[in-house]
Amino acid sequence: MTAPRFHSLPRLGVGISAEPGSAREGIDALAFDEAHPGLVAFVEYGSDLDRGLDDHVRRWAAAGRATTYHFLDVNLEEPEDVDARWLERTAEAARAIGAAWLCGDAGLWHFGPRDRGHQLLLPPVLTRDSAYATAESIARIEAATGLQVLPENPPGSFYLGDLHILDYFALVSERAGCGLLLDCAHLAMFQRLRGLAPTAGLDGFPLDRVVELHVAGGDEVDVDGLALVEDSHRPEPLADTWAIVERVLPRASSLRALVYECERNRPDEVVGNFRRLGAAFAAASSASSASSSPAAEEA
Amino acid sequence: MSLAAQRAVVRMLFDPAFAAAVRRAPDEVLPGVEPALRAQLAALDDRALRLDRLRRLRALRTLSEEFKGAATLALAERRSLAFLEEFFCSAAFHQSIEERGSMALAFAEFLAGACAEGRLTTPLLADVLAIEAAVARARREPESPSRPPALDDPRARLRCAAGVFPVEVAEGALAALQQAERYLFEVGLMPAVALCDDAPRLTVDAAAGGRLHLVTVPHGGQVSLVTVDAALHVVLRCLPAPRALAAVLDEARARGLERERALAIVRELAADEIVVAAD
Repeated sequence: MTAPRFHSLPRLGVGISAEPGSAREGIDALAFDEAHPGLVAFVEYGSDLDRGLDDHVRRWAAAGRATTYHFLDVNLEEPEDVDARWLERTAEAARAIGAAWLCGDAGLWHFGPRDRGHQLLLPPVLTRDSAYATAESIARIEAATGLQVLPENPPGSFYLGDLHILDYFALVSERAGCGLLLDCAHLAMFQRLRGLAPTAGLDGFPLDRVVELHVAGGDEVDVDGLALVEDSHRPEPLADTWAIVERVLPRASSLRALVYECERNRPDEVVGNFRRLGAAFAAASSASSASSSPAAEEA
Repeated sequence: MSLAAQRAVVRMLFDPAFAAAVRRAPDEVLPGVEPALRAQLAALDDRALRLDRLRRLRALRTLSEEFKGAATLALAERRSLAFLEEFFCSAAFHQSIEERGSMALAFAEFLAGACAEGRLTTPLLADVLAIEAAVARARREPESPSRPPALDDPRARLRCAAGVFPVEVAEGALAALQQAERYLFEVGLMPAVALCDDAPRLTVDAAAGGRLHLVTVPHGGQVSLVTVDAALHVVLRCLPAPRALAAVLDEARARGLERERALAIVRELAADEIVVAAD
């Protein structure tokens, strides 16, 4: 088991997701912050080598605001995909915006050599071998970039392998010594597909390794009678997602950040949820600080 | 082992016929996947694979951006989206997944196969495809450090610089490509215009003409197509892989180029860093 390093990461608060060009058609974080001060503390910028950084995230970073970098183009489950060019250019992009860490869905973003237009994000195969491969990739990225990596549980309309996805990521974290990014909406999808309650498995999950949470809306869809959830990032999270957020937040003692993934919506559609998430994050942070204070430790 | 299962998932997502075959006979179709995962793949609900119903079309959009001319000429001839979607059922596609190859280059192989088999017969289509495939290949060549070759030693090994590929096509191919691009530009101004009887039509009236010799030259992340003379093209064709200078000159002579002339061209190409030393 590798000792965790994530305790050194800064506490960022509640942030908003962004992708190349998302501010043009959705939410510009600086404009949103001006209209609604205090709701957005940082931007999590998702991109790939092909698209790089956009003007929106550069402006945000130039204003001295905090960021994280979410990669959209490396297959953590496939260590050979972590090549020198990707490492160099990703680290360069992350450092250009002062990203506090790297994060991204662990699974497959593409097949074969990195390329455009593959149109898939596949969750990892939930086996021990795959978890170890993911841990190997994370260790390689952290060693090469000097940045910590938080693997995220991906969405899916099916999952292969016998492990519960929480057990899979617990293994990854234990093996790589990394913190975790728990996407509550993606977890809700997994639980439904396995016929489990939204919060099933959380009691045995190392919530003290969760550094970042994602919250997003999803669409319930019917494919010829099969009920599935589409990871649409619409404004309103499903009730299952909220149930996971409420269970995890007070128990995630290492939590540093919460991202509301809503970048392509209208600002007025998401203000209410930013307020709700901000209050919940602040309450959880206060409780966490109180429980880790000397007085609390003595008690 | 998990990656073998992931490759099968990708093939099932893009190719419903393959997914059906996995369901029918998983042991025969997926011998390389471990039994437990193979059983899970065979039991995957077909509807879960169909959640993203635009997956193929979006993949084709990206491929068509890179193969604008060839894809447009193919659609103009076949008048069928299903024809291009056959790519996802082709051996080229499945092989590219299993062998970690490039989907774009597999698409080029699929179209080239259709031309060779007479399923695509539009004049100049194969030439347009040859140009676009060379550019696609050049774009994907990993950069590699290079140094000048020692041309005073016949045993010195040479190679083309990364991303340098010679292409020989009919003279009219570039004009045909430009006509296809012009058509796409006009339709792209207002895609709904494709519904109209008086919409812009694709007109490819370029004559084949003589032979045109081109070379792909990458620089700064972009790829240029450079027109070269036939002699220079001959020399580059003698370098499909690293080989000794003497072998290059011998083959050039067999192709009708005097040794001294070929050596002068090699020197010229080395000075331009088109030909470099092979380690």
